[in-house]
Amino acid sequence: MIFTIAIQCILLPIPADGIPDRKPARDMRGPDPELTGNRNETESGSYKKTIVRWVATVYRRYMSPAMSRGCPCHPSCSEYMVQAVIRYPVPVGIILGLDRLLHEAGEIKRGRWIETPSGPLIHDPLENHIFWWDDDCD
Amino acid sequence: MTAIKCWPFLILILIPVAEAAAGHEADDLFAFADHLDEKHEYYRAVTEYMRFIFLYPEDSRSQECRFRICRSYLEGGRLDDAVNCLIEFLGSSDGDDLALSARYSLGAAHYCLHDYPAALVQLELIPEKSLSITGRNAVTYSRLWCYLHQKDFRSAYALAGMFDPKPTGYGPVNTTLSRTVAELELLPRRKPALAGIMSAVIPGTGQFYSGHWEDGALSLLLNALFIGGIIHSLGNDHNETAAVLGFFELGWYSANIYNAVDSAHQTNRRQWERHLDFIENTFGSPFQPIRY
Repeated sequence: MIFTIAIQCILLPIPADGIPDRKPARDMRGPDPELTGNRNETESGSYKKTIVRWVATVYRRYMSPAMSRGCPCHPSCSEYMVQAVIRYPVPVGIILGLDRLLHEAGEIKRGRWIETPSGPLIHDPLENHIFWWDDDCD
Repeated sequence: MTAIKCWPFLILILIPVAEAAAGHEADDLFAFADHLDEKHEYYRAVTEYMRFIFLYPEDSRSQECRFRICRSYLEGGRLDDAVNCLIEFLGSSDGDDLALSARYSLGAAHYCLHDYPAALVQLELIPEKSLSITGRNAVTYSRLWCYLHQKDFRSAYALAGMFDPKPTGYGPVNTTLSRTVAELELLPRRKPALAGIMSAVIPGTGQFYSGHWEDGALSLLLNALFIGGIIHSLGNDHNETAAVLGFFELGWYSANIYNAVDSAHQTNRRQWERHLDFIENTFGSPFQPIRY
């Protein structure tokens, strides 16, 4: 929660990545250039990524250990939000991160448990909650 | 002097021996590659099949090796390589049983890549006359699965009626495929738009509608707390506090609507996957290996 608030405060003023003069804005559902190996990354995207990673590191190192026993999901809620914010425009990423906080409790009952180096966790990747973006509207 | 005179005879004797030895080596190499394939060492098998083709290009089994390389790619999960390999193989084959297997495998590769229209095209190109009844049923059943994934229930139902596969696995014996496919179309589906609207009006109700009770309760509680805080702050002339709470409430409110829509999609997907699992467990998986 604290991490979400920090992200919300720091990053909301940052525009969605993409500099219109140089190249068209990336598709909202487009893949992360870091994941796809695309090096034609915009400067604001890189700036955003650096800040998000920095906030996440501070949160994980100093705040998370004092606040909770740890996230029961894999990836963790902070990593989930980092992925979402890096991959999509900041407001969309934040909404996805908050959605994770809302559905986390239910996933304990519904989700699929997997074995990870840090013990059994619920597998709940970002893709599980955006898969329908490409579907036709019901 | 006598030894020199014997050379031609020795050579005549050694040539068939050498040929036989080479034949044995080819057999051994082929058997070893097959062995690796059976042991699921697909990429090592590919290397051995390639070695066979390199060493014995004129051997009658070299074409089969080419097909097995493609199949090993498919089994090993290198689907794009499998597709390219099979297309190349089909371009050089002459419509024999291997070509039929290759087309079937190409359909399987497209299916695994979730490219169901392309899988259907390949399956429909397989001439039914050249197949045994079992093979024909396997092709029809695989086509049915492609239609199911495309949510083309009418075509899937028509195919299910064309043959009557016996239930395998742990499914009920009296279940018929046609009936199961018909039931799929009639599955009650949650409407994501309705769930979103419900949660926009009263946070959490869209999640309740989708059966996600925990998400709904949390959403209702959080939004109620933040809205209550805003109202309380405004009532006490704490406008700055109300603005800060409103800023965060905007995030929770938006996430609540997204969560409601996502819940409906999640419920529909889980239901759909459960039914597909039932079909698979009862009637078997698509793209089972077939014999001609």
